Amino acid sequence: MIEILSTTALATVQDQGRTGALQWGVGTSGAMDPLALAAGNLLLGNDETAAGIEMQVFPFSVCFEDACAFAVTGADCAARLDGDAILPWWSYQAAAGQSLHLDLPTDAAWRGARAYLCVAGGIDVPVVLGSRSTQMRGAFGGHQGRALRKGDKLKTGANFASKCQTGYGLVAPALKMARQIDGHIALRVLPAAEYDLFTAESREVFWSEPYRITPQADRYGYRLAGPNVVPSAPLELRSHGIVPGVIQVPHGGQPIIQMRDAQPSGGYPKIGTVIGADLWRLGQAPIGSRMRFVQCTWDEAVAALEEVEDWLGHFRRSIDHRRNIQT
Amino acid sequence: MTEQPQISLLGTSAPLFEAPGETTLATQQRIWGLAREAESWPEVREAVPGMNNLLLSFVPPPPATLESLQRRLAEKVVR
Repeated sequence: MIEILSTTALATVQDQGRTGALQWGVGTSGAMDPLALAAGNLLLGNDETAAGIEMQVFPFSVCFEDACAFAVTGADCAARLDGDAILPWWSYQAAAGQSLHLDLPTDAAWRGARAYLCVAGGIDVPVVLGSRSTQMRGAFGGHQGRALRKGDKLKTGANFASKCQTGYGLVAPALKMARQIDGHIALRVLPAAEYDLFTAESREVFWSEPYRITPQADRYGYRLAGPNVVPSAPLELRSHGIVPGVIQVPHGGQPIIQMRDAQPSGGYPKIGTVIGADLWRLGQAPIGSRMRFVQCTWDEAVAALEEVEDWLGHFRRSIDHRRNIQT
Repeated sequence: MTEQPQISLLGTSAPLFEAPGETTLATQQRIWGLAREAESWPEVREAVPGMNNLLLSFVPPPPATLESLQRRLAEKVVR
């Protein structure tokens, strides 16, 4: 059992997301940084689809009631286990009764917005519509369909703690696969249906100027601030299914990027969509940071996904290799 | 409203098919029919009918090219 010690809000149980239920109006949910969660699970010998705890408001503390192998991935939050500093993206063994404390994300090597606590066996909550992710709109999935509260106790899955070797880790993908332009996070975008209906000037500034993430940014979506993008003529649109990463432009011209807890459908004009391979970068972008959009093609977007898969695959093989040596 | 059927992308996860013409029930019924059929296509995980449009999400990874999917969708438009 893991007990939540802090009153901090907005921490949720998440996995890789609930796919296949959009037709019933159920959005994707899932980790804002799916790569960090997958990597944390690999470090512990879990299936990559196992659930972990996503934390986005700090400080945050939990107590391990039983001995438990764990890893903290995502943003570097200067974590401490019973006061001893521990590394992010590294697997550790906690003894029964030890507490884990995460502080505000540091600026050390890169600054992220969300951290993930992964445990051997994964967080054991019921699978609902194929996923353990918390569905905030529908109040189901995750732990009782809601954000975690002080005093909540979470079970871990089949306990491999005795078999799970710890004491290794990896370099954060934000360092290994960094993408920046002029010091801003660079996100690759595929133009969407209404792209050509925006003015030439709008399309120009969209690719050439930075956009800032305003404080109105959460798991539902990010409101951006930057140069206005406006359509050449008023657009009449019919609502359609929405996926994470869609960049909509409501009246007023300031874009919104839909994220994991986005509404399942919508009809604002879409200028583009952040490609799947870059959604983890977006999920880690803090409020106030600036981003640049880079136009990309279908082929480039598919190749980018392969690059991410290769990164995980390489890491999976080296961990398997290490396990084989030790057993 | 579009004059021609439109196939666009919602990132790497899903193409969006939009029917041409006015928003009508007859078109919507064809969208529902197309959704049922498209769900059986191998690269499609889920077909999500919208208002006179259809979003198709992929079984990951996304196909290397979209040609065959676009061709099948285009065939369905022939009246």
